[in-house]
Amino acid sequence: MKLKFWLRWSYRDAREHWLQVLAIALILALGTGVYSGFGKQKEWRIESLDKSFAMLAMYDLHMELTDGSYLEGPALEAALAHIEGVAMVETRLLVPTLIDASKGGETILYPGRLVGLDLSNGGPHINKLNITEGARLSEADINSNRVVIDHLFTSYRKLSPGDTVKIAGDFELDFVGRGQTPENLMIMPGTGGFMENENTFAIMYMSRASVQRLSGRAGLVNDVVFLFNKNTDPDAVIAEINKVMAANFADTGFNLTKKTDDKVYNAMYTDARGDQRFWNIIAGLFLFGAAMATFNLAGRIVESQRRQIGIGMALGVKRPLLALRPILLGLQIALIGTIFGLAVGYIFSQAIAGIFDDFYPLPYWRNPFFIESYINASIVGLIVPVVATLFPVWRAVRVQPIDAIQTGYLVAKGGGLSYLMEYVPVPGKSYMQMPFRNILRSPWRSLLTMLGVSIAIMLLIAMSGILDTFQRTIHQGSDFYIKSQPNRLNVVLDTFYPINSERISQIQALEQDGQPLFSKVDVGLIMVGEYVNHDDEEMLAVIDLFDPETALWQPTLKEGQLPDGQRGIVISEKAADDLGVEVGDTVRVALPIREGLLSYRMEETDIPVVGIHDNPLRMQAYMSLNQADLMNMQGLANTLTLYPAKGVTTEEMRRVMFAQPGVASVQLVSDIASSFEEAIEIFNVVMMMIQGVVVILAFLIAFNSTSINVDERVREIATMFAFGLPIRTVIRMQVVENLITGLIGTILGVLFGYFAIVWMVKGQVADMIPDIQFDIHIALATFVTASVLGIVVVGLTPLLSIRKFLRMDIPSTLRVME
Amino acid sequence: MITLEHVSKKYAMGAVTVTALNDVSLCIKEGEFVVVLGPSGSGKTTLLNMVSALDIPTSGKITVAGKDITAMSRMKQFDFRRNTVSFIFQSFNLFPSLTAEENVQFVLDMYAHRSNQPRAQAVLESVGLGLRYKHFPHELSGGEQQRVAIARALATGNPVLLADEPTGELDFKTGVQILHLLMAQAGNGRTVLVVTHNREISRIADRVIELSSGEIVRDGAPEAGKAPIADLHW
Repeated sequence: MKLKFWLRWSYRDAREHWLQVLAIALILALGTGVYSGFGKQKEWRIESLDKSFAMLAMYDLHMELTDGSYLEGPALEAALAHIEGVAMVETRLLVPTLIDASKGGETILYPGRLVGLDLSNGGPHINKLNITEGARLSEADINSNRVVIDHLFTSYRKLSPGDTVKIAGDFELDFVGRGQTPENLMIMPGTGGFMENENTFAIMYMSRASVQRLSGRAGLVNDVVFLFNKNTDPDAVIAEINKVMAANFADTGFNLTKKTDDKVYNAMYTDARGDQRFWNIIAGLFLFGAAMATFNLAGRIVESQRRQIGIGMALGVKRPLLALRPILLGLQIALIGTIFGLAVGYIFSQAIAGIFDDFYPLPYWRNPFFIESYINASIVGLIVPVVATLFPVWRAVRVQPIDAIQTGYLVAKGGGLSYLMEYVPVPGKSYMQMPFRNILRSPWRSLLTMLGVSIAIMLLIAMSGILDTFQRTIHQGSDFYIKSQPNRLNVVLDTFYPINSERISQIQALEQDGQPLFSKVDVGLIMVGEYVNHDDEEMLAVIDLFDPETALWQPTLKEGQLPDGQRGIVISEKAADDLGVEVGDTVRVALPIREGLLSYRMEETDIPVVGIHDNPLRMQAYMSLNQADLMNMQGLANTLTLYPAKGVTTEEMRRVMFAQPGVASVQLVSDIASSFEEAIEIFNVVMMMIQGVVVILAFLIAFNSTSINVDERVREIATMFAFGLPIRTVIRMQVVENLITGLIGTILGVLFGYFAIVWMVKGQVADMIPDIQFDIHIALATFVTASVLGIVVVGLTPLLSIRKFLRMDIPSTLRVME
Repeated sequence: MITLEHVSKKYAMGAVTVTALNDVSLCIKEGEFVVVLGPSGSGKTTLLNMVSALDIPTSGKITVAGKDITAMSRMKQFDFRRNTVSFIFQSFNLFPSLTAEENVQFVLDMYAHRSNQPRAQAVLESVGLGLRYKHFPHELSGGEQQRVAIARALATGNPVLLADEPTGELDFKTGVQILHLLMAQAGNGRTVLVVTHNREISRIADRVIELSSGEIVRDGAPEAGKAPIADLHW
């Protein structure tokens, strides 16, 4: 027989089951589409980063003077001018400040940083400013009040060029554009203030002279960027710089960072690579789920043709030829699915690219639809339905042809596990017991339906559960800060002040309308150090030194105790796990040691771990203020925690503090929550998009599974109709059967989903986002959604068969069931 | 009990219209044992489907137990099938997940409002399956399955019993047992309408309606008079 004949026949099969074929193809399309949409994200992100960093002339080496240290710009430039291998040097002045961009009744008052750039000769030439909206800065802007503000902050706060912007000292700036330099594509926690992020920390770019004028640091700089000649050895340059600095500025501490060690630069590449792993998992899970569902559903369509296969066997048709028709049906499903998958993949990849573009507005973003990953997914998409159709053919040809053909009493096939009903008393009439019996009668078929439902629920639980885990972590983190004393303000001072200094005393004594502004002021120190593990690897540590005996707000502990004046540190559970320590052990911490008036060096110190706190952020650590001598900081403070007096609002406190000299940052403790959100926001947004897709996928799988199930029982249903059992009763029976199937499928799906989450969170996310502790959490809403989809929707699917039942040709259906 | 007045049934098969029944009129009395005889395609199953309200005629009127089933709504048709007619199928159509007793109980549960319901086991005993009531259909022989199907139909207590080739899948001996049961029902006042292509079966009927190409070609007592079941052979 010619292939054309088989093609035509299989086309008729597809047409006969068109709704199921279409639904399976859509499932396959979502699987292949999502897989290909995620597939080569790493490649296009890295390519875009490479080109963007090159276009913006990202520095090769970065020198930061130790916090609070400044040097005369010309002197520093002169000293560094002739280092071999260096093509260009630019000095900058970075100054902490506050931004007040309040408008329309909304208070936008946040900490920030002024970045004074060298605009001479068309500069900056290193770490160029990428303007995303509005005007750029030019040489004409030297010493002007024109400012370009960070793209992400202004986007989040809905600020546009032309809006009124003030900074600390009540200076009004001319906001002319939005933009970013490459080292500020993201705000790394702990580097500029307390818990700042892109939404709560504003980086403002001006001319260097402008920042010097506004900060009262005429001629001073504290930041240098270097661009190397080709093939320059960075270590040689570093050695030379160390020599020059020692010779010229021996008392000034500084830190040198190679481009490849830059936290932001690294994070962008690490994220691109690490994220790919996560997206691969999601995409793989998606494709696996879709493939399993396709296997299940396509197989069952063929299963229903077993009698025809038996007829073929009786006619002596060779087995390979018997398989041809189901294979061609599988191919049709595969082709439709993969063609749809192309569209889904394209839409999906563009949607993801759009999300990334919003998060990281690079000057170059290439986000093509990668055909390679589509082909990979399509191979799976083509193979699975074909293999799925072979399985029932194999099952069919194992029996004698007569058994496959028989429509008489032999077709009863046995009662499966129905006899078990003897031991399970089910109340109600016999026809309401039938759903239970039907499930037990064909365990294999029931299991397939349950697996179909469970795959859908597994995907839903896995995807939503990841999102829930992220959200739970955000809430856990914010709860840590705000569950007690939520109205306090965290203030970071611009430098270290003696605790009994006039500056701090003045702040403590601030009044409003003749009444004290604060009910209490706690002084403290925030120091940025690093944990050092056994392999000498370093991890960021933000150490908050406070007085545990008097501080109103105190960290909540999971175990151990607060530092009691003895040497000791309270660290996060994540840090303890990663460092392999517990309460009673010691941890090695690199601490900044004050050397000169405003200069510091880092020194490693072993400190006993006295407690584990409840903050999911790994870097957060607490020590007693009386341990400040470890850093040669005894009697000094750089942070204040302000508690409002009765009748004083946090906004009023912020406004007053904004005008205070010496204040670098004023942060509402409630804003800290957004630090957590920021850390995982991109995952959050993409996962929300995926969640939408997974609900559609789950519905399609659930609908198809139960729809096929109803088809398989159509002859029994016709018999019931022949006896006058009303449609509503038959539907009720189907609903009950589906509810049971859905319930078991949902329970299985929840279990599979939970294991998938454990594997993803503990095995993968922990590697990709090492700074945060994620405790697995599946929200009640997720369980409800899964239950609605897996039990209610599956349960109600027979309602969609009402029309089919109403139009049923009962006599024909009674005679033969195909 | 059953009246057909100028009943026709036509099917559109693509561009061709097939007439399954053509202007058929007949009247069957209560308690009659009627065999509808005819070759394949003669319209006998269509006739059965019409009488049972499984299908509606293209034209004409059908009255069963005083009810005009051609004018009934779909819901009323379900009520009619539940309360007036009972089926026995050639391929039995038992529910495979239910035991013999439960298959019978299934229909009894549909009539739970009726008083004096027979018990499922009692009905099974009446068809000679008193010891097999706990068995599933696949554990029963073909004849036993058909007896369960008859028991199921009897349990409804409906006045009209419709059987579509009830012995079609059975051997002679078992077929005869089934015919005995059906005849006994007619003796109990039920109207029994058996559709078959087996001319031998028509010998035991009170009345034989022979169809050919959708038309009645003969209607009356068996040509050689009503024969006892013992005389049957095929």
